[in-house]
Amino acid sequence: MLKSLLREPLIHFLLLGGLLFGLYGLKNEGLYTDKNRIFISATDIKSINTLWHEKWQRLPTPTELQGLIDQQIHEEIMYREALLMGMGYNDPVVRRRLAQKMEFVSSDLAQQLEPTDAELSAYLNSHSDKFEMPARLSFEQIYLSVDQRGSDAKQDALQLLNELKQLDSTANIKNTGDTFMFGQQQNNLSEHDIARIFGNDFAIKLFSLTLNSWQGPILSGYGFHLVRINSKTIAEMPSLNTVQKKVRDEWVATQRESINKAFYNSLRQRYQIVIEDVTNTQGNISAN
Amino acid sequence: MRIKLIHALVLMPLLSLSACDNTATPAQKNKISAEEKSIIKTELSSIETRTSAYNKLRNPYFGETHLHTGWSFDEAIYNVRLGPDNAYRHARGDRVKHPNGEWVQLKLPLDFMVVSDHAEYLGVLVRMYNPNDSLSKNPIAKQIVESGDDVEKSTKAFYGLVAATIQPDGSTKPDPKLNTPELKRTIWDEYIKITDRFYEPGKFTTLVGYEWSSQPNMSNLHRNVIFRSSENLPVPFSYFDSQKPEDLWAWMDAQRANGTELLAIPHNGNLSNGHMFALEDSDGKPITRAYAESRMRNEKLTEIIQTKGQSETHPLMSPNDEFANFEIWTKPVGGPGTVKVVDTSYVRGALKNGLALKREIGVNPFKYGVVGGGDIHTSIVSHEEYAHTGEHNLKSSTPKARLLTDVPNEPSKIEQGTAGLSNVWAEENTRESIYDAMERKETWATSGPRITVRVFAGFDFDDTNPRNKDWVDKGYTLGVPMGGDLKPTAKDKSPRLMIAALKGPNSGNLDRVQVIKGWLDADGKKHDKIYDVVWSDQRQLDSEGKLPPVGNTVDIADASYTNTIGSAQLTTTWTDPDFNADFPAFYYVRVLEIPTPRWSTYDAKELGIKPPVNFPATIQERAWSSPIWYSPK
Repeated sequence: MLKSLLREPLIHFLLLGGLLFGLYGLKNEGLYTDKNRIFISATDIKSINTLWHEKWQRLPTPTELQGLIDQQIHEEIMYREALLMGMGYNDPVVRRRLAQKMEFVSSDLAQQLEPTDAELSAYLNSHSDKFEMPARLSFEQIYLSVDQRGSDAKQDALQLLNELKQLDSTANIKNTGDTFMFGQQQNNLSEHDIARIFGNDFAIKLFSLTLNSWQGPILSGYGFHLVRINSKTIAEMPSLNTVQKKVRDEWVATQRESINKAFYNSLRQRYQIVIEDVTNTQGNISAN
Repeated sequence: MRIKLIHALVLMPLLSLSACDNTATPAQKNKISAEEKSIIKTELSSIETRTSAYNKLRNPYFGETHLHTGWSFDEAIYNVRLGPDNAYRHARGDRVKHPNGEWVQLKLPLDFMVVSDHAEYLGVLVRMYNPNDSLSKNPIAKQIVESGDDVEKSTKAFYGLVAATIQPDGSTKPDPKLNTPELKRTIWDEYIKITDRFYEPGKFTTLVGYEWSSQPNMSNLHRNVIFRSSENLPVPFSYFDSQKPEDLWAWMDAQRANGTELLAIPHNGNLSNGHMFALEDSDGKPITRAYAESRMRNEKLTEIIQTKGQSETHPLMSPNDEFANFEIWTKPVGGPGTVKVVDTSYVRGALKNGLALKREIGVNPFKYGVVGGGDIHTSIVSHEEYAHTGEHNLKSSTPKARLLTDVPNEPSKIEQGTAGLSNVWAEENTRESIYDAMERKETWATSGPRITVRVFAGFDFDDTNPRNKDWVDKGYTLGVPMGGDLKPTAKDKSPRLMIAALKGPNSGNLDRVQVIKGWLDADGKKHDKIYDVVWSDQRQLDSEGKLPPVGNTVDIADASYTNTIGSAQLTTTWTDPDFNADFPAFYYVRVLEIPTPRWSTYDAKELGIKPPVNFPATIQERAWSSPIWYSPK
């Protein structure tokens, strides 16, 4: 039997490999570290320098470098001793960190995904509330200050409204009404944008007005306004092109969640879960 | 059989050999190569993704740069578990829960928000409430969790932790189990993720920020650090790392050299016992040019008001300022006694000292723009006087707690104010645009309402005034906005300011606009003067040239007021009548509202009692612009 074994090509292979292995081991220090020997290599020192340089944009001084090397040695010794004492085993912090790293395995897979345009379109359509572009108004407003006009303000507004209705739609209204810090012309504002400037009620009112005619007076946080809506764009779903990146990010996030879930479930199936029966007033405990 | 065995023999050593030889260090694995960095930069600059409201002449944005959630150690102790996500939801206008159990919602959403939890034990204590978290087994967890809603037990736990951590010499000795690099990195990454989740360019901006909470000998030196982006952020430099601002600035310089843009905003000069704007550095030596450059490289703004009082000035420092007695805070951040009232605690004093120091050392170390801060510790930015929900959970989160309860050795609650707001003029509502506005100091503060202020200073405006459509364009091209520097002209002219102020949509009318000027004369003596430049109701100056008060429509018992006095808008142009081209100077604008009820008056009505007698029942809310500086040749 030994003879046939010696002729086995696989055995030759193994012996050659073992020889190479042994030679390599003799040549390279550090491949087998002695239990009580700590070797700080030139590569280690180089990476210490690099890390330091990244933080402080210069190389460490000799004193600083010695301190950092001492720190590294300190950590290595404590680490080895901790392992010897079996501290890694069942330590809550280590457990959690390892479990986290396991999660990253499937999360990293999700990052590699490249969705097709069809998949992104489908996602966009089924999550319209996230991506919808709000309705917007462009309008002119003429401001009538209550503090300047006092109790006449509303009357002045109604009178001005009458005059405006008589005018040609292209007439120059630049100097009518009182000066308002944000100007007469307001373009492409959503309800949220209008509310921030004029107040919530004003914003809601404006969206109920018809186009191209002067209306009012509408009360804002500042006084009365006459408003002419020039244009209104309805709320709409954007094309995939304009929100491509955002949709992809959301899609990847959703995929990552389901991949993580699937991964966990596939792992879990390999385990038999047993929970001891604890009868107490808090009711039943069940594993999810 | 034999083959199987041989295969097994082969496989085992092969498998053990296949273990990777990991020579790549973590730094090398995570590092973005210089090549990748330059590719990213080119891609970004070629992307023309401007939001729809982009305005080259800039829009006003209202926000908050200083807020704490349950991730701050001093909030977690008071049983607040709501974190940054709750703060962002609330600030953007959602209806959310307050730690006191009630539902709250802002009347108008803010445009941007920075949650600035304390870097010290950031996010650590709040995890102790989770029985599945290993931190819940920490020795101090029991005290933190069991103090629950009991304000006295919570206060005891809080002071216990502070006493154990802060040493008599002002340095700190953090609990190593709660301050590991691992823990800090994990929590910080989570914090950044939450901030990113709520960022909606064009609608609601969130910026990553934190608070460096140095307070040696209970003298407040706190700064909020804000980052321009959320990429590759370093773990925060905290009070545990150093108590000296100089060290914070050195760390910030290193981060900036590494490609991270960030700025720091000091607050509560009023509680610093003269240290915040001292003429000496942390080692007691006179400020040098290098110190001044480092300070101004890293700090552009300071909070001129927040819940713990205003830091503009004090009646003792400014006896001629009839409005100086406003939201004054007298107690220190902790412990007995009163705070020192000295000019190096206040912004106006610092601005004047800055002019003098520039003459001496060549650089002005106190060239600060201003913002308003919150410093509220409930995750709810309560900046509305009529809907104030308190500064701290348990201590001040209900009317009863605010007006009828006193915890021994705690600062007086009646002195606490609502949050102030930080506001900017920026091209659009994005991180970059808003951060850049803060960097160039085109900012203004309010004591809470959404007052809009705009000012330009220049020598060549001619007749342009805020009623002209092109006044903003002319303001930028022929002059400088708030936060800017006026350069001297060859001609014999005085600087002119174009000013426009608009009331908040949900608050009181405006009483008046003032310009506050500070300057240095030929002998190096410091001066300041307050000018009333435009006001409401066509009031006439009295025989002494003083403007009469605007009046008062507040019904104290009813906690209400009417906008039948004051103006919704005030605009003017003003030329400095006392200008001397050889004297360095600064100008800032202060806008005052008509009297409205203070939060304590609203609370008193709710409790059915009279408002406290030892504090004003009404308040004249206000706005302050960042200064504009003038330097002679």
